[in-house]
Amino acid sequence: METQGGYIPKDLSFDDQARAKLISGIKKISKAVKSTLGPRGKTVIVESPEHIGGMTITKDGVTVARSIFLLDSIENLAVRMVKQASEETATRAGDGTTTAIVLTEAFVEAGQKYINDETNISEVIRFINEYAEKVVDELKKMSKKLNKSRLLDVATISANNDKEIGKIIADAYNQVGKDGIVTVERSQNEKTYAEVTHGIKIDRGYSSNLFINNHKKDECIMENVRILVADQDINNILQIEGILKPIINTQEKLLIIGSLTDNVVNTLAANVVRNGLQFCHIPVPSFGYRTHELMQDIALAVGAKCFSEKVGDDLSIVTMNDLGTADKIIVGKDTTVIIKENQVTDEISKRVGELKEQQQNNTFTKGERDFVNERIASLVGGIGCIYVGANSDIEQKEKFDRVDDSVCAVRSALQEGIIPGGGLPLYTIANDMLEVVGGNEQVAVNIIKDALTSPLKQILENAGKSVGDIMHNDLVANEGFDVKSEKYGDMFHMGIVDPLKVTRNALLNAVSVATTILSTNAIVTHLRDKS
Amino acid sequence: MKPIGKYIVIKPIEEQLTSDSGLILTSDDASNFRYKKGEVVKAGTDVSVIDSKDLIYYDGSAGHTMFIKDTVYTVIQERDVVVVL
Repeated sequence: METQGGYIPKDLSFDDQARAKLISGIKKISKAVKSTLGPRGKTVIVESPEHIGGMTITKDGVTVARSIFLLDSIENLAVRMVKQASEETATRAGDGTTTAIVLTEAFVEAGQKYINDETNISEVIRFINEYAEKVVDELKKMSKKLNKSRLLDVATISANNDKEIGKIIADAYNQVGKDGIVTVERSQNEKTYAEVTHGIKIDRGYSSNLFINNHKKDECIMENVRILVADQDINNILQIEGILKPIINTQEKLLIIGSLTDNVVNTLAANVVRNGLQFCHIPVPSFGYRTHELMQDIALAVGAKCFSEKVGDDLSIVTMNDLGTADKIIVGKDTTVIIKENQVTDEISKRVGELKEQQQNNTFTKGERDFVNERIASLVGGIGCIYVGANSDIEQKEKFDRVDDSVCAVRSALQEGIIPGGGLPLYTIANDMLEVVGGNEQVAVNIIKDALTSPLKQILENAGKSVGDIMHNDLVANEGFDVKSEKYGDMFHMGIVDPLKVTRNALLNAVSVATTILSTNAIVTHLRDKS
Repeated sequence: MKPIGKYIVIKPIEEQLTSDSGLILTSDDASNFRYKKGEVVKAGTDVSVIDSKDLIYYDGSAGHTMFIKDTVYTVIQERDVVVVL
């Protein structure tokens, strides 16, 4: 559409007509996404140039949601709102995107059903928010802390009930411990496996092949090593002569982390080969501001002083006390692992405290948050990496998404505990909710009750069942129906569990979007040329 | 062969340098030093304090090389010499 005198002409829609369009947009995205919910959820095929082969096959709600754009501008606005809510859930809790979308649709539908012209919408929304908080409190009461077998359950269920993947993820988490992190990478072969390192992992390898002392593995492996951490250029070997002298005299081993010029590296390498000294050097990790942060972390973890030009340190006065120590280093072509069985000092715990505070910073992108997680893990815990392998690129992508979901879900579960899965807690809470006497509060309660039952309904529907057949009144607490084995039992025992954080975020984000839509009365969009 | 005036004919000495701590320095490192070591082959007619076979340090960036009877020599001037060992 041409601009008119510098302005883009707008299209205006109002009242029911506007809301109807928003709702039809939500229904469209929800229909595509909700069939993936639950263990008997279906896969979705998406045409997308971003993925290998121009398409992706997925059971991951976010991937489906992200791929959806609608032609109608108002419908598309609704889609964007839903996408935002589900992505918010995914970044905060790592899973629950599909639940968030199903809940949003249910809230909006129920709103349409119960709200009429006489209803005071802002009152109702206030009550909905109030009740949502109450539901979260109820969920918290139901939650249980994660133990080893439950961890396996969470991992398995979030990987869409893939027992093999669940076990790999659970093992990795058990090994890295509470503060450790697990990341997901693509595997170079068809196997899916986990690798756990206790210690600091740096994405840099040796700067010269001559440092290799284990030719079988192409690695430089040394034990009881001194470490020099220098955040500044070293362009002459005599700059660090002061520290090399005591090292050579006492026959110690030295790892230098810093940026050395080629001829300094050559001199070190020459001395390794011809003089039998045990040196190794790796370049500084990462780029930009991250370099400095990482160097500080490394220095802290190995107990070294970080020499930095920025703070006016002079390398020529470095002493043995300024060097750190490590029990073992394994320097490969591209990665270095520094292993140190260290006691957590006050300084380290203070640093970790600071980083955990940073983690709460909501303005961080996923990348920045992951960076902070990695730093915490390298200071106090272990780092696990799960390599996802498959026989084809498309299968690998699908598997990768599931592993990634599952890893995030386990992280959330470790933070806030778990509740029974399958949408059961929300359903129970809705059923137990008291009737109130008329008015706006009753409208809000009706909406919430309708909405909260939707995830359970959808899971059963995807399995070809209906709520009436399955949910009897004589079910005891936490008792539910396993749609996979088609048996009743205790949800915790059957391993059907969700992280509390996931359900909580899904609910709150769905409420936020739905109430916005329900209270919308006018929509301004750019006028599209429909021809 | 008889160098004239203030000219001195020398042969540069290439040797393995090690630092105080026993660290081997590569020739790259050695080239960072301005003054280099050499052995005097013959001093010029006006040169008084330097004799043949003296070990000297001279300005590495000064002087030129020449080829006399199958051998390469370096020619420097008396003022390029800084130390006689």
